[in-house]
Amino acid sequence: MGRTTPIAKSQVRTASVFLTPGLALFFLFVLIPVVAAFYLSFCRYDIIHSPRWIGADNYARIAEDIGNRGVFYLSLRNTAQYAIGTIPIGMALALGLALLLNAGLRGVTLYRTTYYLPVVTSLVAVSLVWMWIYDPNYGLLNYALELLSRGLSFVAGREVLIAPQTWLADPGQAMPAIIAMSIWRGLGYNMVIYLAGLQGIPDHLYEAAIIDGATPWQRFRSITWPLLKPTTAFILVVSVIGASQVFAQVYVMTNGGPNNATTVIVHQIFQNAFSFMKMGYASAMAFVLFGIIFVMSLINLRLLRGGEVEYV
Amino acid sequence: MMRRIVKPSVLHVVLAVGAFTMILPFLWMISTSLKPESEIFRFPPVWIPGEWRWDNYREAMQAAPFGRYFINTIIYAGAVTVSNLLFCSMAAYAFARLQFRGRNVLFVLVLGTMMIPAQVTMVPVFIMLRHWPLVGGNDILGAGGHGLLNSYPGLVLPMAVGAFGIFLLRQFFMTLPRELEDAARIDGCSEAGIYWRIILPLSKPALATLGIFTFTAAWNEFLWPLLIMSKDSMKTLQVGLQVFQTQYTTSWDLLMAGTVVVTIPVLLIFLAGQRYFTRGIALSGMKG
Amino acid sequence: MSHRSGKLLLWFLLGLVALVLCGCAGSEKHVELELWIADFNQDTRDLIDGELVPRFEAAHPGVEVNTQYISWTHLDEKLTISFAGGVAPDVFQVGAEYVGGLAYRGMAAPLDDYIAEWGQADDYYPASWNTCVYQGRVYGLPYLSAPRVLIYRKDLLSAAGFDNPPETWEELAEAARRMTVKRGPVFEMAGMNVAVSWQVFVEFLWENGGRIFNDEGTRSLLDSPEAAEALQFYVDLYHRYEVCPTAGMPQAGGAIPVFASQRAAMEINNQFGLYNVRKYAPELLPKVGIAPTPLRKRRVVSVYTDWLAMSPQSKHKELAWKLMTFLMEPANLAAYNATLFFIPPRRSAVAGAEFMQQNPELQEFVALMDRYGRSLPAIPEWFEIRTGLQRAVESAIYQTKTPEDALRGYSRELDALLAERVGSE
Repeated sequence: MGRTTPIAKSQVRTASVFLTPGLALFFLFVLIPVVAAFYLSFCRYDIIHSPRWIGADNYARIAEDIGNRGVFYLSLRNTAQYAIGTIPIGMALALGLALLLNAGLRGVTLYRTTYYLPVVTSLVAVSLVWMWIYDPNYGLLNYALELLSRGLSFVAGREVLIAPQTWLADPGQAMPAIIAMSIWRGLGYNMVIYLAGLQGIPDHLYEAAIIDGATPWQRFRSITWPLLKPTTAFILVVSVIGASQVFAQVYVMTNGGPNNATTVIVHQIFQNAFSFMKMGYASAMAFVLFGIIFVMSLINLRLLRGGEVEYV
Repeated sequence: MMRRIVKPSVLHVVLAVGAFTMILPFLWMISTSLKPESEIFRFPPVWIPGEWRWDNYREAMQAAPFGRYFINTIIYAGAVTVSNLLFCSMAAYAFARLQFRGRNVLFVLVLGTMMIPAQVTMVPVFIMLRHWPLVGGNDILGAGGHGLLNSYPGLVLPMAVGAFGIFLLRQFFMTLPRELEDAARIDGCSEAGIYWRIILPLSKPALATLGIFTFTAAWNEFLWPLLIMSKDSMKTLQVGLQVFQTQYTTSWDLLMAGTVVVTIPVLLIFLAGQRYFTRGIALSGMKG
Repeated sequence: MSHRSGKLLLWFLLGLVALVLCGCAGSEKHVELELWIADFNQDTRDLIDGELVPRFEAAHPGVEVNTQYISWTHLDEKLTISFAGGVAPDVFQVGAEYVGGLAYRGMAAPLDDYIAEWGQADDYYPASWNTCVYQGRVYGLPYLSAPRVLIYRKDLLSAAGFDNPPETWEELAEAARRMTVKRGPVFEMAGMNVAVSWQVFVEFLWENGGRIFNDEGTRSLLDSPEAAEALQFYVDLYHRYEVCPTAGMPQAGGAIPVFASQRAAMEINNQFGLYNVRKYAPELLPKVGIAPTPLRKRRVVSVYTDWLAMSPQSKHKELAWKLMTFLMEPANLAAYNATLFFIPPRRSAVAGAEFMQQNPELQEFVALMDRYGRSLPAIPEWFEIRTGLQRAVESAIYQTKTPEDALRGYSRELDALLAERVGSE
């Protein structure tokens, strides 16, 4: 890229003008509170009385909890389960869906809107509806099992009983149930980002590839996938951050139970901050979470680095 | 590309089955919103109400000043969306395209703040808004009144610019080919001109994405409006829906009716914005 | 920057400034009281907004009451952040576990002086009243009460060969066993419907003569044999007597509850169990009996009371107190409780309440509450204890730990938790 000094100078000037409004707001409403929270993570702070400096005690407590396989350890484990359960499947589905919807079919608007529908509805409302789907007594899912059981009985000529499940009330099923609901809810979101990313790939590349006789798979491998890498990197990083901070659906649907099967990190942070009034400890948890996400994001971005474009 | 692999009819079947699965919970929501209370809990479930209770909608909308809440939510979501589109795209342009010292450090800093859950920053933000000097009855030292609590700015400002938006747009800007702007630079176009005349028009899909996401998120935001508004006249729709849901009795019919109504405006925004996801509008249209 | 974008930015900034200025408008000469209600439904809102508050405002010219209805799910964060910002409501409703934490942190004003002058404390039921007392000082007034009792089906019980409701744990288990009907692994009728809840455990613990912590709130008493026995009995209901599915027979919020839908023969519940029968299956009402929960060593009816507290940050404490006592006037208190089907926590309100007369079964709840009522002991750490107890109970019921191990483990945790406060004092 040919840069000359006047251009460089004008770039710095423009950069400062362009960054000022955004960063000013950012500084005030994001950075200062984050720094304040970081300070509080070294304090005992019950929100009413002034914070009292206690050094790294909060972090020591977290280390001890992890060592004892305590509640925070469980929340880390559950959060990891949630992330592993939602991200790969969710991203693969979203990419597949975006490719399908990008194929220029008729009625695409209807499909897109339908798949995006879960995203526009408030998480609290959809969580309530899914609680209903999973309800052991009135749930749609158990009704589906009953129909299945009847159908099988009919085919087999004898009674085949599929026991109704308790879903959210079962320690083994609660997390998978929340994961399924979350994939459903997040699909349209990633789909839209992928769709936007696909619009950035110039048609002439495909046309050239077709002339060269490339198969569809080869075109995907050598054009679509590499050029979507910034999009994929973005979705991956944002999904990891989002999954690490999963909270609302857990809070509404299970409140961390049963038997701690669904308690997640932010649930612990929330409980400690607002029910136990241990803002300092909650803040320390938040920065442990920060450390984990930060390292993972760096790894993600490194993994997806390549080609001539830099992503971070 | 896809249509050359499999027949469109097969694609339609796949998409339709998927779409049906996606929409099922909504059909249930709509079905519930039209039932009398006695029909809501039945096993086996009843999909078509025996008695269509359109009145549920009227009743739900009369349970609280939803007209006022609607205006508040429009102001809130609209202001947050406009400010995010503007400020995030400017910052993202600087991060993606301009050379300046400390760029990467600054960007990582912005990105890093996304990784701190809002639950621990809410209290500092709240205290700051409460002590905002010279507004809401406060003196120059920020004491005496309620500051920016119970006000639109208090609702909007903390959400006015997001790391998510900067990140999203930066990633998109980086995929744009540099030839166009290099040519513009040689023609003597200013950096701001490049941003406004070249980058933004090329980025309509990404801007539409961010706009839709920001609007949706603000529309559905619950906790922050709940926390800073303690006046009925300042509430948003999502907070308003709370009236149907108490610990002992949830009015499912009204709650679902209210949720359906509240969802429609966001859906319209999506319908308006989604045309930018159609092939042929962005880059491909210009270069193809 | 191009001309157009500059203009756009300018307009936007002007808009923001205008918004800021909107926020400053409205200087008021009158007094505003903020009241937060957490137990409410549409009828409650109609009563308070449409009748009670207007009457109070008419009686106190220049006073405006801003009533906010905040559901329990979000009360904690709204309350916490408001206190942090110094803008706490003047009067607010809290639950049975709050008094210790509020008093300890200075989030509720002690009301002893006002109460002494008022002189109506004796009218309240003791178990309700105690909910607002911490270390001898009173921090609020009880607003509604919910005693937990045994609700059973007379017809099923006599068919199972019992003339009277079960008196003891053994009888309870036996009756439940006889009334349970299963088809394969599926429960068609649960002999005893119990949720997996720390509240049930605390009930069994009290009935067995045990306690959670000592009087001073400095040491856990959960490592006692009484506690282990209580939890063992609770676990046995699921795994030994098999009278209820392990995951309980839960319901989505608002679904027809298990007992009212005739899929359970007995349950421990508050007056809401009765309300559900009235609402969903009124024909069942003659067949429903109410009894104190069966005992082991002593009779206990646990009472959960929600109450009104006053913020120490209030700038108008006298008026706030007037508002509190206005809401507590027997007729007003009865009207409020009637909208929610709770028990008014004072005798004169119960005596005068029409809905209490119309529901004779409710009188039985009141009698049991008056006679055997017991409220949660006050301690600043209740929320953590509640969460920890729930964890211990679940680990025993889902059989990841034995009852004894679960309690011993949590008891150690609780000791450490209590030591933190003692250490910091």
